[in-house]
Amino acid sequence: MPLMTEELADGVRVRVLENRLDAALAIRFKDRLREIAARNGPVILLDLSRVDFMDSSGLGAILAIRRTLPPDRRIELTGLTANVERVLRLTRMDMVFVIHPPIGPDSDVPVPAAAGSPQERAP
Amino acid sequence: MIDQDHSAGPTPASGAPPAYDLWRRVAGAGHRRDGADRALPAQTRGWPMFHRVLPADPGAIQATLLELQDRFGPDVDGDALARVELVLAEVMNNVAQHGTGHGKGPHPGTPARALTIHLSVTAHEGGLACAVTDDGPPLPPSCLSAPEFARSPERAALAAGGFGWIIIRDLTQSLFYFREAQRNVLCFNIPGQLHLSPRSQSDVA
Repeated sequence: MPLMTEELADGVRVRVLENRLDAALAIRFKDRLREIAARNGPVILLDLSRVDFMDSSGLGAILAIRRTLPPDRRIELTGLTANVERVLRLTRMDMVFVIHPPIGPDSDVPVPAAAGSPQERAP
Repeated sequence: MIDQDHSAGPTPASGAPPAYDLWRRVAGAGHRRDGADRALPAQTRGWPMFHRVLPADPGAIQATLLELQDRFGPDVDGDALARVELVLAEVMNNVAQHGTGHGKGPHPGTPARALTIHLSVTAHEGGLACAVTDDGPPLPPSCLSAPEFARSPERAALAAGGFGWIIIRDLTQSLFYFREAQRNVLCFNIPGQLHLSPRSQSDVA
């Protein structure tokens, strides 16, 4: 479950380097995010710009960590692709997270061989 | 065997009942494999259909959804394809989580019940018609109807459950459920304006 962390002035940016956050990955994702959230803060900025598919299992993993955070820490979101934004809107979870516009290009992040932008995924 | 007619085949006529014609096509291919299926109406050939039988576990479900993308990617617009993938993920993961008695916890090994999902998706001019069946226990009726009282987003976030059915109900048309011969059957349409072209190959053949 590749997650890349980067320190921010007020916390940490966590970049998800998978293009799917689904039931097959949700448990590993939740465990990794929990470790990171335990050591960083107060802001855990989850960067989902590489994620072009997320189902309710992926969302549930984020919410599970959010629920266990101490009061002085919070998860915020950035880089929502159209499919991730749709899931948040349908479930109204776009109303419980602070959502930031995408942060600049991430060309410094190595692209895993199997991953790609949403446009590249279609064969 | 039937490839020769495809290049010249017209686009499917809007009045054709696709399910019926596909059934005829399957039946014809099964009984007479010597080319007699050419007698079937040319306009129904190559209509995209996707059918899989898979174990109800997250890895098999993910692999099937990726195959579905490959299968329909060339013909179906990206938004409808994204919606069908999301809805099918929710439907099949519900089976894997609740039907097997597996729950959401870390995989403890063998599920309490090993279930088999049958998935069928057919593209037609009004969208993607889907049927998902499984041999798990009956679906609770409350899943299909919207809750009487909407939870506040914050309460829903704390409960962190029930999102799958919200997504399913929201993105589907003509959603219906029945139970037959020890199987749950869930059928629905994912709406979309699809512009289908005859294809040289189909999973049905």
